[in-house]
Amino acid sequence: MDADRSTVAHDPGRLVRPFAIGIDGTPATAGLGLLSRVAARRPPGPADHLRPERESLLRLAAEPQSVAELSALVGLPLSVAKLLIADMIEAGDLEPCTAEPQLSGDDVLQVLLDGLRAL
Amino acid sequence: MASADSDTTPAPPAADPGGHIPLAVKILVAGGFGVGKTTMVGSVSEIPPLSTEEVMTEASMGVDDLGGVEEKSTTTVALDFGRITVNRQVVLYLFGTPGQGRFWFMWDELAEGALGAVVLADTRRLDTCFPAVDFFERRKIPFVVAVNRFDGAYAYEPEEVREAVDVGPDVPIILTDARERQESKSVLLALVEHVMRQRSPAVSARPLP
Ligand SMILES: Nc1nc2c(ncn2[C@@H]2O[C@H](COP(=O)(O)OP(=O)(O)OP(=O)(O)O)[C@@H](O)[C@H]2O)c(=O)[nH]1
Ligand SMILES: [Mg+2]
Repeated sequence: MDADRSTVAHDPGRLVRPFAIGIDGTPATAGLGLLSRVAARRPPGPADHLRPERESLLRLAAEPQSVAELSALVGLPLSVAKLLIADMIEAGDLEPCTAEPQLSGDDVLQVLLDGLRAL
Repeated sequence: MASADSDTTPAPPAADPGGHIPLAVKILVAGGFGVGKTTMVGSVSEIPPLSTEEVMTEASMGVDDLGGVEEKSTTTVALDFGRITVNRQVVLYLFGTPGQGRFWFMWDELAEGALGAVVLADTRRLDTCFPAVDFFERRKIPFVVAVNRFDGAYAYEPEEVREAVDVGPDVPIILTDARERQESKSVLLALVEHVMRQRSPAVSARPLP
């Protein structure tokens, strides 16, 4: 079912047309938002030199980093960055990070208010 | 899943090995062309504003924009953003959103999960903030209107702006200077307070007539 989906309809491949980045298939970017954070699971190695964008992402995401920042820092449009990041997650090079849900909605606002006031 | 030997509590579901990272909160800075969005993001951000871009394909353009776009041509939309690490628990991202209607496709993703928005208004061209006001009203995303005081511009009173922009009495209207960090910070504080008021049941119990 899922395997079929990549071969039909939307042709997301055209989004990467102008970029010489090899991405096999169409990794699922659905779960990746602007503020999704990902972290590298390994440092870049010698084999990564041939794939500069991936090498940069591994370096930039040494600490958890947002998709938006990675996209800006590596100089790729968001949709392209998302594809690449999703591909690297599938390959086990990056991992998604989730914030601990230790704050309720109201607490977030209070923390934000106090924090901003203290800046 | 690693578990410490002294750990008696069950591991939280889907706990990522990435560890404790702060909650990311998003606030949008919207408004017309050249109204000071990037300036405001930059004045409060702890990093120089970053810019990323999105590729706009014909699929993501509104019908109105389709004229003349026959092939799979692409246009890019720049998106500026900045970051404020509020504390160990929360990191705030500010996104300066392109104000033109043909970038709606971008706004949808931007607005998703946003805490609220700052609509920047330029008193010389108040009408340029209408699309943003409409958008946030329709999505029920809380917003404040920040009037950026450009040199030599006629100084409106907040209530005159309220009338011109046609927003309800509960929407804060703040005069600001997007270049000044403290002023931009005050705008953000006003927005967070506004969101808090909106979420408090005592205030939102009764819709205005
Ligand atoms: N006098 C004055 N000038 C300002 C103020 N805010 C911004 N400017 C100037 O106005 C110009 C436009 O500001 P930007 O921050 O680039 O505006 P923008 O909304 O990001 O513009 P676009 O992204 O092109 O739509 C810049 O030259 C700023 O220096 C302000 O509060 N007062
Ligand atoms: Mg700008």
